[in-house]
Formats: sequence, structure tokens, C-alpha cells
Amino acid sequence: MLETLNVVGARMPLPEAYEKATGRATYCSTMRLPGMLVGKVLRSPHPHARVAKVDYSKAESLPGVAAVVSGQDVKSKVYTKNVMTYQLPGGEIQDMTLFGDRVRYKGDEVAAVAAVDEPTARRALSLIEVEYEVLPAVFTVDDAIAEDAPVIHDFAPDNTPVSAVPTFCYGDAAKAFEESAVVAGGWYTTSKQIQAGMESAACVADYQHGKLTVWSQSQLPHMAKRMLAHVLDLPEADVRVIQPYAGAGFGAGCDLNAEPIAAVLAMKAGAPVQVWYSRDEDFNNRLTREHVAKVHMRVGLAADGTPKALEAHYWGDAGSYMCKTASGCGVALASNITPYEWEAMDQKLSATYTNHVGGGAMRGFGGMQSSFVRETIVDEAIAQLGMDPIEWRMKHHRNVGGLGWFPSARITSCALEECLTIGAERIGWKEKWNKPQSGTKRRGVGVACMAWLSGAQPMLLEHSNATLKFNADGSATLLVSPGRVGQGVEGALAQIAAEVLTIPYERINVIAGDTDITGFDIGTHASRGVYCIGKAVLAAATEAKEQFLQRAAEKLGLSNDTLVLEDGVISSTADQNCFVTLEEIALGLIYGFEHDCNQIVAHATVEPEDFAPPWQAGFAEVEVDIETGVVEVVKWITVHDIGRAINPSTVEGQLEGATCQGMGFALFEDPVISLSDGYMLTDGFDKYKIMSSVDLPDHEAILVEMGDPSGPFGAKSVGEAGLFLQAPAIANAIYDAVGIRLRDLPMTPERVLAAIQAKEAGV
Amino acid sequence: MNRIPATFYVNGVRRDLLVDANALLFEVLSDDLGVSGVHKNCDRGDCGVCTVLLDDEPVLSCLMLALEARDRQITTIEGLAKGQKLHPLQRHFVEEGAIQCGYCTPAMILTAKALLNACPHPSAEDVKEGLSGTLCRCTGYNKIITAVLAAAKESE
Amino acid sequence: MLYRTLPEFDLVEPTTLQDAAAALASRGRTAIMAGGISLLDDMKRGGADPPDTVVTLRHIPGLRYIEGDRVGGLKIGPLATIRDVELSSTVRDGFPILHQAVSKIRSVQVKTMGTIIGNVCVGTPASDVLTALIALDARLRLIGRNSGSPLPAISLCKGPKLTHLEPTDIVEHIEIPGVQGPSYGAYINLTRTLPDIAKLTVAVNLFMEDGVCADARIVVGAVAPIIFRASAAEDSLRGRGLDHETIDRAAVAARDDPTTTPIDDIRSTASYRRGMVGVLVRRALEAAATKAAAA
Repeated sequence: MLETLNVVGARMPLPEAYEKATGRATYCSTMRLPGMLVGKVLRSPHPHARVAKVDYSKAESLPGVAAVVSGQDVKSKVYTKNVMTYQLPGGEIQDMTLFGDRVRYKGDEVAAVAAVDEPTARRALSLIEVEYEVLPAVFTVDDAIAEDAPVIHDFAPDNTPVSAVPTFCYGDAAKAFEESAVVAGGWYTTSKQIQAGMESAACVADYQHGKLTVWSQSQLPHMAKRMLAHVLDLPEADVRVIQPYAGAGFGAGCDLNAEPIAAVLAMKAGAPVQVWYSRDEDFNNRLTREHVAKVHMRVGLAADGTPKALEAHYWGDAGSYMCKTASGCGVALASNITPYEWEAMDQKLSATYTNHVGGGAMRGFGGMQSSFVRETIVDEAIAQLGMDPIEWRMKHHRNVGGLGWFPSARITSCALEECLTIGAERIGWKEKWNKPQSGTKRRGVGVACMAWLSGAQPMLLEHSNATLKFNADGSATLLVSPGRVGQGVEGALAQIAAEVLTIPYERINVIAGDTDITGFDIGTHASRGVYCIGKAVLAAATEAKEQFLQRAAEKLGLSNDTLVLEDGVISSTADQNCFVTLEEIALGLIYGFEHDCNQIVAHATVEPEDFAPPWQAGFAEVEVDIETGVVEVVKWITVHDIGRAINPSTVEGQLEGATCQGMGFALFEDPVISLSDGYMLTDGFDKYKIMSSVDLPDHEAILVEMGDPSGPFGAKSVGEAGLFLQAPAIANAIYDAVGIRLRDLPMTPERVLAAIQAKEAGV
Repeated sequence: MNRIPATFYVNGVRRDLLVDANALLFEVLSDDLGVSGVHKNCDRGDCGVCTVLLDDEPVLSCLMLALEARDRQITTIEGLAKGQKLHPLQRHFVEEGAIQCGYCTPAMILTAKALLNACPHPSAEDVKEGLSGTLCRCTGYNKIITAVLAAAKESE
Repeated sequence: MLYRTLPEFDLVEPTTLQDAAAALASRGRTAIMAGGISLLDDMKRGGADPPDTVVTLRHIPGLRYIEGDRVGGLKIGPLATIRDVELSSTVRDGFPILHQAVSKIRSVQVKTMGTIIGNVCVGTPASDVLTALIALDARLRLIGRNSGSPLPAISLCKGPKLTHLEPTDIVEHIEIPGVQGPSYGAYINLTRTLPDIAKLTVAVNLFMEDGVCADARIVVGAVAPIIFRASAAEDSLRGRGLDHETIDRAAVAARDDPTTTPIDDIRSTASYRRGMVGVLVRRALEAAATKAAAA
């Protein structure tokens, strides 16, 4: 269907894969700079307290200690670890102070040390004397909104700075519900999933001659740089953020971790400092998935199935600091808009402070909570009408030109029907769906759909830059600045450039990960890499191609429009023997063989307008053991509307990896917060389980490539979309198997069995 | 605390050190011997990211005293390629797209190497069992399994 | 040195069991190390009183063995790893319950490093291996203690991660008595993900004579402070054929056993665990009965 291309669409190995396969890749945690010190953070033992006094004189005099810092060493500037605040015109809530006089969760930062080795640093921490005035604390939204609840942030006396704010509403929902033949819905809960990349939080800071360099796992390095300059009160020009490879992101790199602390320590110690969280420290202190603690949703359908109304209230548990909780709820509401043609929508969001670690961002930001709740409720309503869930979705999804995820956004492409058709065939929907089951183990199939985005424009700023400079041999260096979290975007960007310039993939050398070298970029979040940065690369490569054509025209004495570029050679369309190679042009312009010296450098800056939704259908076949409640996923199929797969192997890898995370969210990943002190009880991989190779169900990812008019070579995104549908499709499959509706995640055997027993008891 | 003189054979190279009793193998490799390809994550034996081979058997370098590895052959990821020539497992991991963030990759490849030593012609199920002690959060394992099977087939 | 996770201690490396015993007895807070997994893990977690001396058994020759057969009984030495037991054909053919339990441990690395005896001596009530060993009536022979009467595996623990062993004790071997007549067993557990610690473990071992259950061991873990035998359930089987009714009655008896006192934790809930005792015991008995019927 799409035109076949040369480099785009090929299964290229990633440029960084060789370093990673040989152990040569550098990560923040593997850095060992000469003279590097070990930094450690002193954390609050109380979930809520005033810090009356910090005396670190004994720690400071311990031999081997290079620096100790606390509130007295920093300017108390209000900030947020959520560097995405710079993407919204008005910014987001800023409610943190580095080493402030109030601690708001068990683990909050009080002071830090840098020492020659870890044992000395640990000893130094134990010598810091802190006086706390302990305050009452709350750990759930319901407790935090109670009449007599302690106030966690003074500016929010009811602990709910965002309270029932109407968001993305249109039409007359009350009337539409009245006109509905069926209404389904209720209260739902979802979990505070942990990103759980294999490298725990780590960073290194060094301060020399008035310049701060921070090696960070940030996915948003340019904005991290700006926030560091702000909180440290340094000119932005004096802060440089370098990204080695990160041991995964999944949103955990959207917020700062210990970067400000490492920086303050390095500035005081005059030596590089590494802060590398232990894994339990990481689990308890790294911002988790945006935590939508509870959702109330109802949908109404007309007797013929027409979608009438969707009403929702998303309520976030922000934990101790707002970070991305409110925006996570907002994105959940926004992503409820695109899939189906509701006559009316009535949505609102709230976010409440509590005394445990805050909600940051995780892959599938907000969309996880929209897809699970919406797709299971819709399934319920469809079942009440006795309709086939696939046929209903085929008929009632929005389409090209329709309303997008944001009031001014319009859908540019949609291959959902193809996704549904392929997936239904592959899973055997006709043979398996809605078949009566008996016996101990009962099978069912379920489907769910989603439309996501390729960058968060136009809600958020999604500015990207790309620079291509040509070397004397006709190869090019591509300067870009995505997050370096393993998603494979650097290879895809090289493929885009190579395709335009008709040179081999290997001739594009990608340089990324240094804010002093690359142009500004928002970085990696919201599935934006290939689409947004790719558009910048496409524009830069096209500009470079024009420069080459112009030079070739001059050299050959022909006009531009009579020339064609193929395989790195520019030739006359009239006379094939009249040609010049890119290499000749590049070489001549660098060494002045013709008349002038003028290295070919092309730059492009892009802020996309469209959100180019990738559509997706997910299919689950499950087997439910009605005696144990154990749900076995027999088969999982993702069919993804990618537009165009720049690198099919990478796209499949994104979907396959996401499938495992989505299954975890659906079935067993369950962070447990202590209700007595707010500590993350699941603080290790012994307690917080993620999928291992033996847990792996049979799963596959199928790509549908029909192109998007706004995407580079028709590409849309894939970074997040792969994990939205496991929870709803599995829930719907469980219904098909045993007739129960689950409203709380994860769907553990305990919950499944309780629901089966309640159904049998007629409750 | 006692210190004991110890000899290690790291990727075939003899290294002599005075080692603290409480030093973990991971710590000696990464801090004293400059082996940057050995990573550490959970610290408790649940993730396998710190895996190295000890006399060709996979062990957790974060749960083993360095002194327990003395006089033995330690293979880290640095020991697999011959110059620029990748080990078949490394090459197939690269070509299949079995590497994303790469933090588990050294351990995953070494675990796979141990598996193929013990079971040269594994089924997909054998590979899943053999790799079950090494977690990957990125790939969903499919491409890792394909890469290991391809490497096994190549050595037939 | 940059990073150093463990607290300081002396490492003692005896070359005989006698020297090891002497080292354990002559120092202050001592700990014995075989595979090291649980010891080093505990030390990293920073208990109140970390040992100041660690005695490794690794330099003592001849401790890595699995000897014997089904009829004569089995002996497992202190340095026999979990992997050794998993790969042992003697264990697989002669003591399949143990083989099944060991196969539930999913990390090859842990199985390669960890020893069976070390695993058992942690004393966790959710131990797959200890559950199976109790079903096999295994005993622990301790050096210098109870030389005439080894410690039955079922008497090893007094609470979660609390055993009757002293820091100075060395387990010389685990012995499993031989079996003359036909016996049929099964091992089942429930986990969140397969490599996880079990939320419930069940092992059954039935001794049959002329189609009748002459003796039965029904062992249940992770639903009480220690792994226990569901004695009322065992009693209900003795002298009976393995029909559905008998099996159901035994399963209910196990579930309702007064020793079954499960708790809520991050892995499961008390009520779920209790309910599952009945289901898993029934399924294990059915599996054993199927084998018996096929024999």
C-alpha cells in the first residue's frame, strides 16, 4: 500500500547495540571518574514533620568526608522535579524546596554527604543530627480529604489543590444519558505502577571553573538543565547535562532524581560526585506512575448502539508533591475523547496530597487509566445491548477529520478497522467469542481499542531541532537530543536522514545526549521521538539535499529541477553520464577545491501541529481457573496502526516490551504503600514482581502500515501505545469466560476468585 | 576485618589483588578491576543483572564474596568478543533487536551462554527456563529468545 | 574501593569440618556460609547484629554430593547445590516430589550458587524445598549434636525464619529415608509470577498397599508460622481408597486444620490462602491418585 523505500522500513541494527552488547556502553551507574566521590542522601524517617534543626558538624569532621549539605547550603527556591512544567504556558504546580524545613513523606530529602567511599558516606549520614517536630500524616485520598486531616502543603488547606475541575467537556451529557437505552459504569481503581527499569536512579555531577556538568538519566535533558539552573541559582549557560545511556526510562526519566543534590555536593566538595540509589531507595523515592487512585465513569448507549454520553471523574493521589498527578488525570480525560463519537462528554479531575512518594510519569501516562476504565465499561454496555464488541467498535470509532484528544486537534489518519479485522481473524474471534464455558478452567476472548498520540501537541510545547553536518567523505553527523533510554529512536532518525539523502544508514553518525552540543529538544515523552524529532530530521535532511542539488547544479551547469539524487549521486535526468557524487561536493566544499569553502550544514526546527494518533486493537484469550482465580493469558495479540514503521524490528520490540508491562499492570504489578507510615512496602524485586521469561504468554505484535499524511514518511508513534490494552482486553476476556466484571487493578487471583464467588452467591 | 591476597582470572587474564573479606565480586570487578560491563540492580538475587560466569557457570556477582571467586575463571561480557569479532550471541542480540536499554544485556548474554553450554540445542521453552533468573524490563523477551535460538542454530 | 555494601567481618576458610566447627564455636557472632545467598542478603538488609566472623565451607573437600537411591535412601551434602539436585537423575526418578519442588526455583544463578541445605536452613515457611523434604520425611544430621537421632525436617523451624539451629551448628547432610513399597506424590504451589516466593505450598506423599492408602503425608506451607503436616487430613485417608469423596474430605480437613492460620501480606490474603489450602491439597491428592491408578 505504501511506497517501498530503501532504508526506511528496513530492519537495521541500532547504532548503540554494539556498545551495549560488548559491555562498553556507559551508564550513570557505571561511570567511575577520577577522584569521584560517593554521594548519599539522608532521608526523613517520618512521613510528615518539621525539620527544626540539622547539625552536621560531626559528619563534616569525619575523615574521608568531602562535603555535607543541608538546607543551610542552598537557596530555598521553590521548584519541582517535574521538568515538564516548562511545556505548558502557565506551568504546573511547583511545591518543592531542596532540603526544605518540612518533610512530607518517609524518605523525603533532609541532607546529603559526599565521601571517598560508600562506608564512609554511610557513617557520615549516621553522624548528622536532626531534630524533627513530628506532624500527623495521611496515606490515602479518603483520609486526606477528611474534615480534620493534617494540612500537607499550606497553600492547599484541603489537600486538594485541584478539585473537580471540568476538563474536555462538550454537549449536554445529562440529556444524552436520558436518551440512552443502557448506562453502565461505576467506581474503578488503578495502581501506582513502578517503571522498574533495570538501572536504579543514578547521576554524576562535577563543577569546575564555574561550570556545572551533570550526567543524568533524564529523558528531557534540556528542560532538566533549565530546572537545575533554577534550583541551584546558576546561569543556564553554566549548566550542561550529558546523557550516557540510561538503564531504561519508561517515564522515570521525566523527572529529576538526585541531580540537584549531586550538584550541590559537587559544588561544595570540588570533586565529581555520584549518587546511585540502592534499589529499595529507588522504589521508595523515585516518582511512580501518575497515580489515579480512583475513577468514576459512566457511559450511555442508544438502543442501536450509538454512543451517547461519557461522564468521568479522575481523582489522583499526588503523594507528597504534585509533580504529574494532576496532568496525568488530565491526559486520561483527553485520551477518552479520540476513540469514539460521543454525543456529549462531561469530565472532571481532582488531585489530592498524601504523605507518600509522589506520582511522576510512566509509559502510557494517563492513557492506562482511560483505556482500562473506558474499554471495560463500553464492553459492559455493548453486552447489555447484545452486540458484538468488535462490530460496535468498527462502527462507532472516530475517523479522519474527527475530534482529537485536544479541542483543536483533528485526526489525521485511522487504521483501526484494519487492526480490528486482522486481530479478530488471528485470535479466532468468530469461533471463540461468547461461547458457553463449563468445567474448572474456562476460556474467553476479549478486545479493547485505543487511540493515542505522537507527541503531546497542541496541548504541550513539543519543540525539536535537528542538525546535519556533512563530512568530507560525504557522510553526515546528525545532532539530535532525544532521551537515551533504549527505545531505538536514534537509529530510526538515522534511517530517515539516510533515506532522504540516499546514502547508507551507516553513513549517518548520530550524536546525542549533550545539551552543549545539540539543539534544544523537549526530549522523550508522550511517544514523540520518531514523529516530532523525525519531522525535524526530515526537514534538515531535505534542506541538506537542496543545498547539494544547488551545488550540483552549479557544478554541472544545469538547473536544480533537471537533477535527481539516487544512491548518493546527483545526475541529470537527461544524461546519466552527467553526474556528481555527494562525496565530491562535500569534499570540495570543505577543502575549497572549487571556489569557496562552505561545509554543508543543515538545521531544522519543528513544532508539530498534529497529534497523529496511532490506533490499536488488543486481543486476549484467557483461561480462568474458577477454583483458584488464576488467569492464564493463552494468547495476546497487539495490532498497531503505526502509519509507517521506520524500523519494524524496533517497533515490534516496543510493542512486545510494552505487552509485558501492560500484563503486569493488568495482573500482578502491585505497589503496596504502608498505611501506617506511607513507606513503599514493595521495595525490591522480591516483592514487586515484573514479568520474567517463564511467565511470558504467547504474544505477538502485528503492524498495520497505511501512512499518516503528517508523519515523517507516514510514521506515527509506538513508544507507549503497546501497554494500554492488556488490562481492558484481559478484563473483557475474563467476562467472556466467567461472566464477571472487574473494576480494580491488578486483577489478582484473589480479586478474580472473590468476584466469581460473589457472582455464584448472587451478590 | 581481614584482607586476603587473591588471584583472579578475569577473561583469561591473571589479576592479583589484596581483597577485603567483605568485598563482593561485583565491587572488585567494577571498582578495582575496571570491568564496566558488569552491572548491578536489585542487590538481592532477584534480577540477575549482575551475572558473570564463574568457571562457565552463571553466578550473581552481587551476592558472592570476591574471595569465593579466587583462583577461578571469571568471564564477563568483555571476554566474549575476539577483537572486533562479536560472539554469535552478541551478534544475534544486535541483529534481532534484542537490545533496548542494554542494562541487562551483558547478564542476559552470559546467562544465555551458560544455557547453551549446558543445552546446545534448546527449545524455546528451554530458553525461557534458562533465562528466567535474568530480568529484562524492555524487550518482552521475544527477540531475546529468537536471538538465543539463532545463535544455537548457528553452532550446529 | 568505592562501593562496599556489606558490613565488615573476618572471613575464615577452614579445610575440615572439625576446623569449621571449632571456628564457629570460638568466635563472637559467627555465621556459616555455603552458597552465601541468604546470608549475604540478610547482611545487606542490615540486621541489628551482623556476624563479625563468616566461616565458609567452600574449602572443605568432599561436601558436594548426592548419594543413594529410592530404596536405600538419599544423602545430600552441605555443598550440593540446588542445581545439582535439580539435575540429579537419582532425585528425579527416586524422589520426584523433591525434583518438582526444586524446579519451582526459577533463577539458574540462584540454583547454581545456592545449596539445598542453605535453602532449607533459612527456615522460611514458604520454602518449596522444605515443604517437599517434610513430605519425604527428611532429616538433618548435625555435627556434634544428636549424633544418634538426626533432626526431622518438620522440627527444624520454630517460626518464620527461626530455626532450632544454633549459630555453631553445621548440617553434615540431609538424609531422606528409603522407601520399599509404592508411594505416589505431588508438589504444587501458587505464586504471583513463577519466580516469586510461594503464597502457598502443598506436597503430598501417599503410601499405597493393595489399593488402599496405608500412610499419607500432607504438608502445607505459607499458611502458618511454620510448615506443617495436616494430620487430620492424613488420618482421614488412612485405610481408604483414593476416591473423590475421600479426597474431598481430606482437602476440607486440611483447610480446616487448626494449624492453618494464614496472614495477609504483599503476596496474598489470609482468606484466599485458607481457601486455596483445600483446593491445592485436593489437586495434589488427585494427581497422586492418578499416578497410583496408572501404576
